[in-house]
Amino acid sequence: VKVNVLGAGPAGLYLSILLKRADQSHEVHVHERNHPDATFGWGVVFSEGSLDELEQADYSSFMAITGACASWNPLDIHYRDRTTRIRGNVFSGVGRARLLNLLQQRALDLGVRLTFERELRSIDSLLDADLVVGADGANSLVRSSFEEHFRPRFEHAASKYAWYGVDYAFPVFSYIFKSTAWGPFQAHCYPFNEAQSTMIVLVSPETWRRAGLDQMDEQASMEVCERVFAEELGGRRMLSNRSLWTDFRWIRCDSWHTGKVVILGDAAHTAHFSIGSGTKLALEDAIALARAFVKHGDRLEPALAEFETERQPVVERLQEASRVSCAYFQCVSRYFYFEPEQFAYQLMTRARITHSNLAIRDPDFVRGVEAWFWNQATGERPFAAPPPAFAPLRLRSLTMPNRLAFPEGWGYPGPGLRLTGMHAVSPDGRTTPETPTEIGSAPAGAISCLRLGHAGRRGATRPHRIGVDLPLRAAPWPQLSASPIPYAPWLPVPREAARLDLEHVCAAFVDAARRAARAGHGMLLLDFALGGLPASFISPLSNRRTDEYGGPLEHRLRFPLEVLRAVRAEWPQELPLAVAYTAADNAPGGLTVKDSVRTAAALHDGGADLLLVLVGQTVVDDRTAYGPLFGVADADRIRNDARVRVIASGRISTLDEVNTILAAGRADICLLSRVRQPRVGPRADSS
Amino acid sequence: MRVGIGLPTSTPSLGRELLLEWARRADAGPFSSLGTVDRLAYGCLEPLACLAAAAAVTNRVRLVTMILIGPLRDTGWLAGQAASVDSMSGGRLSLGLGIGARHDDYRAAGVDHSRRGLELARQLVELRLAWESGQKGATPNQEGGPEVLVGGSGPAFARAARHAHGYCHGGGPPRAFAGAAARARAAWLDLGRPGEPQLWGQGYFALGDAATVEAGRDYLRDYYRFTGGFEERIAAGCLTTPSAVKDFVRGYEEEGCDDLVLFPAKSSLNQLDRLADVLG
Repeated sequence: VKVNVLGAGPAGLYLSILLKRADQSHEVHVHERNHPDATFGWGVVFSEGSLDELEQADYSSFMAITGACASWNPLDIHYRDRTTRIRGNVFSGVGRARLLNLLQQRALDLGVRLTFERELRSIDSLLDADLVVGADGANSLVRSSFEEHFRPRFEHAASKYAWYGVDYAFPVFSYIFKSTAWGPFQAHCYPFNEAQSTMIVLVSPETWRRAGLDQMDEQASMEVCERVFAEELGGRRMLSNRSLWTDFRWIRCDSWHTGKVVILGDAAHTAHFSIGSGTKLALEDAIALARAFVKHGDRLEPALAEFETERQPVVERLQEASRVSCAYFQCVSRYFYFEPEQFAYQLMTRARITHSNLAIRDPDFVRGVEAWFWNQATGERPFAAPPPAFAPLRLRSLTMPNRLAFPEGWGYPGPGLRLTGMHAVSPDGRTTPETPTEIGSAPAGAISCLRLGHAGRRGATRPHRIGVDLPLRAAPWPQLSASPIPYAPWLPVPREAARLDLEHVCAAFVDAARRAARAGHGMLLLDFALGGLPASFISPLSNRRTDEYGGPLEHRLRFPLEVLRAVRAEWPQELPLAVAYTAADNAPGGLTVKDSVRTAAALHDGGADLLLVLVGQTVVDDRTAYGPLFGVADADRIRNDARVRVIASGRISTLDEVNTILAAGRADICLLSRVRQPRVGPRADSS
Repeated sequence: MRVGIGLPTSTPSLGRELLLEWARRADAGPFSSLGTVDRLAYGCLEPLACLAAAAAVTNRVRLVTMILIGPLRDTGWLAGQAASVDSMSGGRLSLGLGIGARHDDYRAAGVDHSRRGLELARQLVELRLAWESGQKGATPNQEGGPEVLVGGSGPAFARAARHAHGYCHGGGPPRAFAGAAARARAAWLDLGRPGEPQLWGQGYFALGDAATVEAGRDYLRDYYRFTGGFEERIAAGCLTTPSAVKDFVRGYEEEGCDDLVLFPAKSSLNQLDRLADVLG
């Protein structure tokens, strides 16, 4: 079989090695536009033991590469005046030039033909082979030649970065965070041999411009970075090699092959460098492609389909993790008010690592974080403490025994906050005829948090057994909303609430709060979410009023804040008051979490001790994706931008998730979602 | 988990005898349901017409559309047709609805493609009201109308939770089903539905010699040609050995699927018999 490979990077070289190794009779020809010793970007890093697969695939090159690698297990986080060292990670780094030279040598030994310094303008001359491989990187010529088949999508990350080298081997992988007059700078540094390190510098576009980096040449930019990181560099100089500022570009393709042409590595997909996986993915792609090729005895179509089927989900998962990681590093200054313990913990758990993963990697670090968390909660200074889920939380005179909240209807879920279903403040505010308006006495055994609301334009619907937002056959009570816009096309048009209506509703909230206090509930949760009457005022999608209750956010918040202040005045001073609100409408033209930071601050100033951060359901056709932990990122942002206490929710179901969210400072309490018990036993009778 | 089988309604060489005998054997065999796919702009038998025919020769199996492209059909007629099939099958219809994946089906039906999501939501409500009123078509056998499922991704999870008895996944390995099922459950909880959604999954099979397998894959490549590249992955995912079928069934069961329907990629009665043998 004749194979043409474009690009002598790790993916192209490694694939050619594996193909040639599998069958000496294959003619494998690699075409590269650069000189064999030319390379950009200093060292590459492998994280999480990703070299194991290489050992199986080709022992000879595995031995050569591991021999050239610098390996280390701790990483350092330089933040404020403290360096936190976290153990138990597995990293190795190798000079990119060294890696390529080793792979070139191995390829030549096996009889692969390598042609360097020939730049192709078109891939026509490669098409005389049986298999044509695009291993030509993020700016792939092969990909762009078949764009209509691969259908690539591109997306730029917001932050600016540049790759530098330094003639100094950092002892271990190091993250450095610096506050400057222009804004925060960060560097991700790792050694790739005994004497040199890669240093990637990241800044936000605003910082970049304020520092004047947009106007500087390569040399001047580097000198700015040298001054910023002078302390960690110990006065050493940085090195540049086409180290220009750029923004990271995500590449995703619908397909990676068409006919006899296939792309792999960066040509097919990129993953943000902050999880150190680009080279790993490229090499794994090569392994999968070679394996599929061998398995199908050079029947191309099934081989390429199998390669893609095997690799797409792996790549998607990694791209998702790297998206989360990239988002974290872009907004990391949000967490610059954290103590070093929590800051380091948050960094470590930013994408995929959880509390229990981290406890296995570095038990001492996690013990320290748990003790720190306990100290924050209680003032005690223990050597070891229960995990964060079991740290108490004091809210006014109420002490929650732990950080767990459960929806009512779980029977006895254990100690924690028990959240009731919504109680309507008045009969007209009911969601369904079964929505309670009477407030029962608080059950023993848990702190009862009573949810009070007014369904507004989502009112007068049927009980949820057969569906939600299904109108009652004859609407027995009228619906009120901020504006006369129905919640769904099939629901009646609500009446625009007049001033007098608002006074009545506000009074009903106050009266219900009085009854709740008498009934012994420990906390109130005002429902300003899910499209109910107060929520309808907050979102521009449901509020088109032109009076003082409509228009800019401050006006739209007027009614909810009136309710909040009135209830706060009635609700016993020693008891906490919580508000549930929709932080993101997830709909075009609706509120985003960015807008909702101001709402959070206003609710906090209005007397809310705690916010339950929810998303979606402002309109009937929103785009909430219900992915893993779907509400947690928004809760995190609200908590740390507005500096308020929050309850996070959204597919949180394990204590490990709870501990991770709490210790990372993403939320103060977690509302658990029930998961279905796995079914075991014989198959159900089919009749 | 119950396991059902698809009717051969879009595979090559369809016909009356094949369809009726297929339905009879499924009813007699280890299968719990008979499923249909729906494509207008492809040589495909109409799902509710086929299920009506199947209803006449079966007594036991559920009859399920996985899915039927709702917005292509007038809601009043659809309510009547579904109620009729439900009535004539003695309450065995599960009506899976979705927006489909192809523009050309909408063009063929002369229906606006741009508002299909909200149209489907409105249709789900109108179906429910029509069945309750008993004014359109026959009165369904199941109280309040046939069991309704919603298929798709993105907004489909909330749509299933808001309007249906469950969620119908579009196919793929058990892990893909698990991801979608978790979203369907999360939406169910988020919208305040009591209990759990019914979760349906599906897959393709072609059992037999190399020629059979290749014919099955060729059909899948052709049927999914419109995906522009994805058809190879679907063809590669076709279950072609007894152990692949068993692994797939086990995988879906572990991920909490309630009903799995395996669709034939080849129109031949021996396909049904072979699958019955594998499932025992």
